[in-house]
Amino acid sequence: MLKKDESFPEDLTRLSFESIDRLKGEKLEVENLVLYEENLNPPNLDENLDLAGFQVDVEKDILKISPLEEYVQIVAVDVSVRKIGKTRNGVVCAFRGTIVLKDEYAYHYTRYGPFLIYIVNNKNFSCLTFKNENLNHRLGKTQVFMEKIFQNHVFKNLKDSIVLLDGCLLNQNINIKMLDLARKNNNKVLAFAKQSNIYINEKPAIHLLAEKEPPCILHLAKPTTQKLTHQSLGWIFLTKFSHENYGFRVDADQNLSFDEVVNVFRKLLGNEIFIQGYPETLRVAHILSILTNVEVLAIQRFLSEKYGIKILKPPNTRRMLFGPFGKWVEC
Amino acid sequence: MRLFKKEDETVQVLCFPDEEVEKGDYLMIEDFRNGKGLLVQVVDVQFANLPGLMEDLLRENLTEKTVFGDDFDPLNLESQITLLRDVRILMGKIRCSVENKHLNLNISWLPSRNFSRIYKIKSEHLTQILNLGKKRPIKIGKTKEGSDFMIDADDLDGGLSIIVGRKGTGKSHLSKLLMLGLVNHGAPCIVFDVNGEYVNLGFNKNGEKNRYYEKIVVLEPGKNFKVTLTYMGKNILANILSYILGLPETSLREFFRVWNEVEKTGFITIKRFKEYLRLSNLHEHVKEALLSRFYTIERSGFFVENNSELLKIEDVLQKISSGGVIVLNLSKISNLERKIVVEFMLGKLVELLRRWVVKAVFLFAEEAHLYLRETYWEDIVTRMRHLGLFTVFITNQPDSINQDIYRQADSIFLFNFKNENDLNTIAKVSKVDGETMKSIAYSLEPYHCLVVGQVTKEIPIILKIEELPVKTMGETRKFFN
Repeated sequence: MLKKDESFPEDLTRLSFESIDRLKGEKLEVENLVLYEENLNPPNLDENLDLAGFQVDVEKDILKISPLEEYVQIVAVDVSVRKIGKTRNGVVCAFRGTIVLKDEYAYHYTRYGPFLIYIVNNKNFSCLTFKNENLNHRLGKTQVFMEKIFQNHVFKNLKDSIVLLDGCLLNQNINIKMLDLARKNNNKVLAFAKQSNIYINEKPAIHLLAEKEPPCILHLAKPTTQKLTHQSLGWIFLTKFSHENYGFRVDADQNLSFDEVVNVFRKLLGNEIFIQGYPETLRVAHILSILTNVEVLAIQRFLSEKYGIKILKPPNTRRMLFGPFGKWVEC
Repeated sequence: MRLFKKEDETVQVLCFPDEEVEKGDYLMIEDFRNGKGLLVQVVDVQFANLPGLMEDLLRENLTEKTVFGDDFDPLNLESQITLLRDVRILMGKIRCSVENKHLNLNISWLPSRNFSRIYKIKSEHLTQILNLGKKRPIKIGKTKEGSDFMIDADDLDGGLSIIVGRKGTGKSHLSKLLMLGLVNHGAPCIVFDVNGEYVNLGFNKNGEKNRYYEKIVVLEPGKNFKVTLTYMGKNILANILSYILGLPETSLREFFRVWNEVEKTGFITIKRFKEYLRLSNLHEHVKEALLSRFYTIERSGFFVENNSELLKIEDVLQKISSGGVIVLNLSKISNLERKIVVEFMLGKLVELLRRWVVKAVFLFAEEAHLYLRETYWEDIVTRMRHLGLFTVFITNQPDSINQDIYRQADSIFLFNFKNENDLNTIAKVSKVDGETMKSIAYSLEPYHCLVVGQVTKEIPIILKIEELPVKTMGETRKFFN
């Protein structure tokens, strides 16, 4: 079980309330707030890698694996972000992190948040500094910062577990120090990328497993491109754990040996449910952390009621110019 | 509350859970720029379909059954989410416009979303605006807030009313209230009592005589209510023979000839009729047809041969000329006899009204389909109404009343209905839109009714029916209780 850490998430709460204090007297515009994950990431966080010239012999390299019926605790961590509104100077976002533990009997979750963070163009936080990034990139950086806090909390307070993360093990998302902490507590870290596309000769690599019988993994042999080695902190695998999908990119801690990684995959198969090839614990973490539209409305109402922040609905230029052709839906 | 949408005469108002509004309540949408207001009745309360609500509820289901855990919610947003999940949309129908405290039917204007104030109107305030029950008040119930609800006796005058609802919802109760209210204002009433539940109106619940005792006349056909053929008259008897007893037209022609012949002897009795028929040289089939009908009439016990036992309706009406009720107890006679008595009664009333023997009469007809012949429906809404016979129909089977009656009714008192067919039938009432009728009728509690029409200045109002101090005898007999 997760060890009790009384200080968690006090820092986040403090950061959140300090941040909202900056909002006082501001007017919050609440329309056109669709948030695309791609927009959040600074350019060097891009997960789309084209391994030009990289040769894979699928028939030779594919590895069929079998579940290992040896109990291990599965833990998943996910953090979600939604834009709540924007002001003249910045953007208000809500973050929520969820840790889900799967033991032999059930799923147990602890959900933290939402934490409201007001990111302003020219201001830093005491614990988080920005360079000359635009607002979206600042937001992406803040999300990574939040994710790191939650991941660190899990690595520190859990032992002998398989820890599932969302995304990739890139050095912008996670650092060596954190992985060391995980290793110290005998935690095995795997990162499942939902939308990660690795291209081999301009073709999506995950299609390589399309016709293959699950469960199987394909190790993309030691990456050779300078770009990838510079960024990646893990082994990169393609996995196919059920019939319903092509597969996922999964990163594993590179400090583990190849046999250890395979063993982690086998234990995961023996202890986890896979629906459409995706681990259920991570899916539950994602579902629980996501901020729904109702919650966004609730946050806007909270800001209006508790902090007297005026909520504005700015004129929709698309609607004015193009009417029904502006993809504007009457509510 | 915020104005959300308006389409035709329907408005949608966004309402938060802490604002208590129910079906049937009235809202005022007051545009404070022009001082005008729209009076809107809530006909349905729905959940607001907030974006993302489905995923929110689905997720909650997940954490209730298979996934367990805790939330650290620093902003206490759960309370806000709970509130938002219960945000409602009030579907309202615009009833009228209010300008300088006066009602008008100009609802062609649109109030501002930004400069409108929406608030619930108390029923007491509404009845004041509508100026109800000021002239000749009849207290029929209480509003939702508990204040007395009055209608004007004048608004029942000259009109056609319908009391309709499922059994056990309080229809008879209301009809008695209306009846006694009319009596209080000096009006003569007649009730066709098929279940014998009006016969004790002159007694309190404890069995003592009440103030209406002298004003209630119970007529029991065949006992204290008998008539002679002469008093009945040729035309009424012809109607009975034709419509109730199914006498063919050829025989009916012979009947008129025989009547004239018998009349020449001085006094018309059933006995003389039968004798004349036996001795006449009429075609055997005609003779048989007429004789068999006269045997039926004789067996009914409603007819007497001499004037000593005759009860004249005009005499009874005279007795209640300053207000009273003739209770025609139809509960102890057969269906056929019931139809004969009603045919006579209506025929005689029309005759008396035409001769101005009586100025006007309020007729209460319970389950009229049991005794009223098909051709009378039209007569009641047209000819009889102009003569001064103002009818109140009471029924638990809405489809038993002719559609024309619904269309021409001046006032409707609608109690609860659950059946879709019944709801569709009452939706045809022209006083108010079908959507209102169906939506509100479905959710009315027992002893609550929706009143609309002349009595409420065409504004539908929900009220709880007043308890009667008199012995009602309307409850269904039970074995275990």
